[in-house]
Amino acid sequence: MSYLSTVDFAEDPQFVDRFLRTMKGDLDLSWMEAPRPPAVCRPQNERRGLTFRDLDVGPYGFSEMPEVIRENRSFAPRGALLPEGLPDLQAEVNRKSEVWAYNIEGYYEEAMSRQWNTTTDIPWADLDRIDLPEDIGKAYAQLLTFLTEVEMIATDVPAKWMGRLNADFFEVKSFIATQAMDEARHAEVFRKRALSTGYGLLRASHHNEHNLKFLRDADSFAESSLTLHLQAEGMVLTLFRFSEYIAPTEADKKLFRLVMQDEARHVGYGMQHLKWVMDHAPEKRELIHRHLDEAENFVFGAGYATEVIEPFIILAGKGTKKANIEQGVRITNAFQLKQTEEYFERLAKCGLPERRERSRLWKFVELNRQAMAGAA
Amino acid sequence: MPVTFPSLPFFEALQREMRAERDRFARLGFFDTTFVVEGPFSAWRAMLDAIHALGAADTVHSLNTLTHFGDRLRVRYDDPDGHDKMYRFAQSIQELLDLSARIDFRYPDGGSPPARAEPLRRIGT
Repeated sequence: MSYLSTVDFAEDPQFVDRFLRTMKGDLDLSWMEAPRPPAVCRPQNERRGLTFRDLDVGPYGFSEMPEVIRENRSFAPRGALLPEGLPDLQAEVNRKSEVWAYNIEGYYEEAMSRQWNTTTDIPWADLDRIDLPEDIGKAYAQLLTFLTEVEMIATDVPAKWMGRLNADFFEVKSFIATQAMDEARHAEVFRKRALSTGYGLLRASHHNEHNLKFLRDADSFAESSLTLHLQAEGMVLTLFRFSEYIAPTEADKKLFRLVMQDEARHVGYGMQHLKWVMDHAPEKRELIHRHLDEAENFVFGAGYATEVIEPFIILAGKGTKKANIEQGVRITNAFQLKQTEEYFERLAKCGLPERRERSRLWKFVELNRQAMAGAA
Repeated sequence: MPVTFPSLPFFEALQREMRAERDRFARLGFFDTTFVVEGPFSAWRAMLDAIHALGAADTVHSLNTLTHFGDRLRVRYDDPDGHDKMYRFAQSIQELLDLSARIDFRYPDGGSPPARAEPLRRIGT
């Protein structure tokens, strides 16, 4: 117990007296007179039900929320009266521009309406009837090992920040709670699939884990979101689509479609957050570039580690014979070009078109192009 | 009376099938689209033939697989966020297309999709 009450309530005469009077029916009722504006929120679309957007009214809503939250330092829900004596929780993030995203309330509702269940929504019985060739099975098990590793940290990061955001950022806190749940489900489904291939979990990746540590240890939520939601998850989204493309069975394809849905939603938040930052705190542009400079270095190291890239080559080429490997290299190169192009495309849309020229990742793209030209 | 692919009646028939599966699609979640999928008729036909024969797309004919590199079908969009919507709603869209297995339709050349090769399989939620 590190936090102790300054009052021993059982020994406090004033508190005990009030308690006894209340239990004798002498009610205080001062809370009932709290001067708050009335609110009658109704669904704008009855088919969807009552959404966060329907609650965006007056001091209860998010549209009128100021950039800097000075008043609420506690757990008090936005719009409630703040009496004297509330604790200062010392939230680390109190500026709206550090967390907010266009349509954040929509992303939350989408997340809630699109939850799925790893145990029952994947046709595991169909997978039981499929024996993968050993090289394909091992490559797939290695890919699943890597993805389980990634998704565990993707669970930890939003969970780490949730309690550090000011309580007034209710919609963002709710959204990243869904994200933590999504990522836990992804770690679950990849682990289950790895352990159902017959090959188990193969090798962890030290290059990848250093990248994940960089993600986890970001100095601020803004840095964390930039690298987690937009950069890492953007690249993982392309990777999930590629994984669906090379998945060996229909059940595996469904698995990747379900995880890509969640991942694309997280990327959507990341994009809309960065747009918000560029519109409301444009002075952060250089800080963003400097953080991406380092993030991209880690990404290159992690994405091109042998235990990460080789399973892709084998799965894309559908085997380990020379012709299979050549085909796999060609397809994997095309995937990596696509992954990088989509990353720059998203950044440009968010207001960072110059990233393409500044980024060292661009040099790696050129290396890829040369490799493809040489292989042709 | 068979409908023709592509045509408005074909997509209206898909809509009816989707409404008949309201609970399943509601569980998958709401979705909207801000992108266009385009490509040669032969690619569409190959996809629909596979769905009709098997009851659902096989590994080489899922929409994501056909559009991934843009060499068979392409996703056209004005905004990367619109592009990502295809993936935010990927399972819903695939299950919608898989419903075409239940539709009696013909191609413009008068041809039909192949008869079902095996009992209807569905991997929908």
